[in-house]
Amino acid sequence: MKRIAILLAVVLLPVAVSAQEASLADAPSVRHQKLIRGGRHELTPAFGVTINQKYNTDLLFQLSYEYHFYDFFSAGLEIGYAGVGFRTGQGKIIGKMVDEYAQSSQNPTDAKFGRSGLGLLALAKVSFVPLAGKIVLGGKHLGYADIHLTAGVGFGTVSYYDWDNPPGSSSVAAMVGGGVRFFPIELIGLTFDVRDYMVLRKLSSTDKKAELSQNPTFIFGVSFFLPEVKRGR
Amino acid sequence: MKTRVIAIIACAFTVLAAGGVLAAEAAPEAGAGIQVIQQKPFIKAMRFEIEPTFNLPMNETATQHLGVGVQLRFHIKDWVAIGAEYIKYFGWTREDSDGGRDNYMVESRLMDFYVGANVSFVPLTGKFLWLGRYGRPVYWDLYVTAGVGAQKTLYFDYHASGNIGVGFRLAATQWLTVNFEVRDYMFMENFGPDQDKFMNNAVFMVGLGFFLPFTHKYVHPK
Repeated sequence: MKRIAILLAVVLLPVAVSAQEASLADAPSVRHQKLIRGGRHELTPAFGVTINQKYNTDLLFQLSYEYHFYDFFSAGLEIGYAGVGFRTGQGKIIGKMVDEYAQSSQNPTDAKFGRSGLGLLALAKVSFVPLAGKIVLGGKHLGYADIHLTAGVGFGTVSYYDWDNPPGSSSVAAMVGGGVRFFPIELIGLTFDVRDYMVLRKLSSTDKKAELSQNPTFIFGVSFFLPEVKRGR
Repeated sequence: MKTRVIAIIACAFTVLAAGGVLAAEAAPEAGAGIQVIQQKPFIKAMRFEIEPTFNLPMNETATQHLGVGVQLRFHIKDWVAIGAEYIKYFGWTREDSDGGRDNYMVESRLMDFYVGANVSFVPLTGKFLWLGRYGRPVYWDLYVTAGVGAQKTLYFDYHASGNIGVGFRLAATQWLTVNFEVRDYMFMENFGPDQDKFMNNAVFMVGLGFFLPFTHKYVHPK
């Protein structure tokens, strides 16, 4: 009887203790965590404006779709148009001088201030969320937020303004960027991104060489997330 | 008799240990219905922050600068701080690939340094997990800042300058943060007789914030 009891204690005690340890070690950092992104579709109309451009600032109108395979990884498509814009401060100075010169010359069509900018953009992209969590305002839970990185590749065009004989405008396009996303409610996310859209731009119709044109762009989007949020274990 | 006593004690010990596990899983959450205010693991109030920074002006077309600097802040409360700052710029004129600057005489001025004082407020705080679910929580805050100072350009001119900005502070430890900030330094630059122009110098900053003293201790126990 004594031997059986001791054997029972020796066998069962470590099992009981290890069961307690395992239940803590395997426990997630947040139990029953709301998976704000994982397994959800994201549809985002967005508006952007290029920054730090030399002569022309482009306005970008964009629609994107992503599916979030995990809470930290998603893939999708985006299509946008940036063929409208306005001159930068430096562009205005030079444009004014060119216009004055054109008006003073005998043939006003002689002088034009040729510029270029982004056009159509269609890219496949992936996004990665390294950090995500809660946001607090004045001690009260305000919603959820994340920091995300994104990259994509696809097709783009270059818009040429005031060019007599513009070169071909189609190009391979690539994009890298990142930003923050704020979820005031579970169905909607507000996205603030800075992305660099890169296209190949030819300097003239006769020149076969093309240069890489970088177009850093600030983008604000409103994301609609469906279906409803699931919870982790 | 002795054997039975030992057997009973051993069995009881085993049953208690196993039962403890089951009870822990089945028991209702401790303190259910009681609101608990947890102690913050990262406190800024009444601490100094020394932040070496790397600075990159973002809205330049004719020139390009890189800057190094230092921010000194004293956090009066967790949500408000006063500070002083210095940024030294190293700049050069960009390649005029399309001849626009030469042909149309667009002027550019290189910057030397900025020195000033500022105040910052923290309206938003929060905590992040790596990949949204792993590791220890990373505490963060978002701050807005405004300041005044002097901007010197390389044309021997000092200009009164004002600035506004927004920053993001990630707390790596109790004494170390990683800060990201975008600030617009505004000043008037003179390009000739009656040619004063309003300049926006939008600068991206990244820096490491070292907090002194290194730890914060609560007056009351946890």
